[in-house]
Amino acid sequence: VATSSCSLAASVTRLAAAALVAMSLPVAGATTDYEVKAAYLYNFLSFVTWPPSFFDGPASPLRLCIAAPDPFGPVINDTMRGEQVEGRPIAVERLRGSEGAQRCHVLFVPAAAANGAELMRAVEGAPVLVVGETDEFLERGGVVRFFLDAGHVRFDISRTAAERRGLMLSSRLLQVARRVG
Amino acid sequence: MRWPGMTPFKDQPLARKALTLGIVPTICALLVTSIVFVAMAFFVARDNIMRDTDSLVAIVADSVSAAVAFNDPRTASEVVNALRAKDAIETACVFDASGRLFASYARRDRRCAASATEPDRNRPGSIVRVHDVAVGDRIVGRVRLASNLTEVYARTQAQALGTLAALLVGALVAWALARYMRHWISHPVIELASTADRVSASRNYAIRATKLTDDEVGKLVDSFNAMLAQVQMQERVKDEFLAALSHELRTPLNAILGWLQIARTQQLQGPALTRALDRLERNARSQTRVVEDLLDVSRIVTGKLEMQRETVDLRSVVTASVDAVTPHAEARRIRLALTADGESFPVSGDRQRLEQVFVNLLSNAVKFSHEGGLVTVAIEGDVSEWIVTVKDQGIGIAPDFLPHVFERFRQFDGSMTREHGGLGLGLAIAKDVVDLHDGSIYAHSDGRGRGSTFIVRLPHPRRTVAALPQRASGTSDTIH
Repeated sequence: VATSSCSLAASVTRLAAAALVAMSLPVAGATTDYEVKAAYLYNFLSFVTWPPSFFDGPASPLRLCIAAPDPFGPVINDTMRGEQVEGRPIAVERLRGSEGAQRCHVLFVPAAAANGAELMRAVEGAPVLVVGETDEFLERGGVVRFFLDAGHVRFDISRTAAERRGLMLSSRLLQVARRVG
Repeated sequence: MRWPGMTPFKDQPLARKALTLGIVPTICALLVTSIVFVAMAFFVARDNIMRDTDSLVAIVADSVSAAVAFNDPRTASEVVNALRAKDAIETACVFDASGRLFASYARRDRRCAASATEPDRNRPGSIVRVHDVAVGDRIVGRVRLASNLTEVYARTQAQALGTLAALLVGALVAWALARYMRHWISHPVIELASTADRVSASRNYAIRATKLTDDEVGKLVDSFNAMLAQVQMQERVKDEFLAALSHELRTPLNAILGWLQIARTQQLQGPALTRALDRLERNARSQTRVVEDLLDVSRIVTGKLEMQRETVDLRSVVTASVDAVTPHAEARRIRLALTADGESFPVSGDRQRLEQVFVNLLSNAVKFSHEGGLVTVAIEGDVSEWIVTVKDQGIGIAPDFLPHVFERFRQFDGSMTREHGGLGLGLAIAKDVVDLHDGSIYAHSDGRGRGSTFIVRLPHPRRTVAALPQRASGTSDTIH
């Protein structure tokens, strides 16, 4: 009982922190953008449906992969720690190259990634929610693209890319995206 | 209940009562129905709004989840502003996880509460529902929806007014119908009352009330008319009796005065005087008998007839009675035959009264016999009583008069009274005396012209007084 209440308290604290971060975007610097993006990456998990066959089992983890170089630092682990989505734990994986990328459920490709094209080829046609932050990311096969709008983190979505990959996106998610391609 | 200057309900005219009975229960029933109807409509409408609010707050919480999760107040605002179509919604407020207002919709002068958890101020007419906004397992905000019951109140008010109007119309219809129908109840009674008034004022007992209905009032009319018929009959009997009485009193008086005048003017002497005195005496006795009869009736009616009670021989009583009427019978050549089945016929009673009974019966028999007829008297015994039968071959009794033959002052009709004389008291007195002896009297006739039979039954005297001690004290020598 003690441990569960402790973990509850910890998660509440983390949630409050994440929400606070989301709310205080205008005064936050570039580093806090990634805290927001980490929170958004978590949020995406609830609005995206993967093909059931893309999981090993009913309780097998959701794999959230961050391609090198990792811009999040400990933030991403802090955000995901202890969380579950529909009974699945979240596993954060940092990729060195493109190996194993096709088995990720979410693949975040940082703007500074050197092997972007290679990664895109690796996950071509796979049900991977590929999230990037460069201008032409959707044209290169990405599903979600973060951008900054007057200091707020927003995103565009390519529905065709999602459909091609067999991902189902919630209409609620499409509603809040700036552009849906 | 009683108000000053107002007649209490029980004293109000029937028509007013009928009107009241027609309207008051109707209004009460309508009122109860209306109240229940309006209340039910109100509760159903309120319940609907509550359930609408319950489901709407869940829908809104789900719809704004992505907008809250991805910090998109504009989309959230669009979602909540779609509630504009729902009249009952006053405010729809979305708060983020830190409790700050994220998006809102407010109707007219309403404003969002400072926070989702702000307690409902229980403002009448509003329903507040709060729902978490969740993304996965995380709660990212709250939605607070306030619904407005004023529309329900307004609708209920309109319904109440409509129902009230319907009630008034219903009451008016009930009033009109009751007003139209009340005469059905009051009219027959008023009619009867006015007839009674007319009878009472004019003392004309030939008037009859008209029977308008076949209900209780109709029965009352029948009873009233039957009563009038009785009164009318009594009146006639009384008139006839007075006529007979004056005749009976005047006839001997005329004879007495006539003989007195003859005695005085002709200075009668010897056998002529004796004959005149006989006539005077006979007429005086005749008048005395009339007066005695009247006194007897009066005594019987007031219960003051004194009777000796001793053991008398019925045969000697009957023989004495036969002897008493023999002169009259012989005068009209009528034979009197007495038969007795046995030796002794003891009866407990008053000799003179019993004689009176049989003299009356025999006088009648002689009076109503044709000249040269036969009157038989028979005394018989029974296990418990003696039976005396007086039978004649005279004019008989009409069947419709037979039941009234023992009533006081009744004779067959006026003409008979005049033809045969008498007051019509003889049989009535006979019956009363026989009754006082615990006996019974019975008349029979096969009709007019076929003679009449009178049967008197008298009980055997009780053997010992001690055998019935409880009645010993009551059966003293005199009966009152």
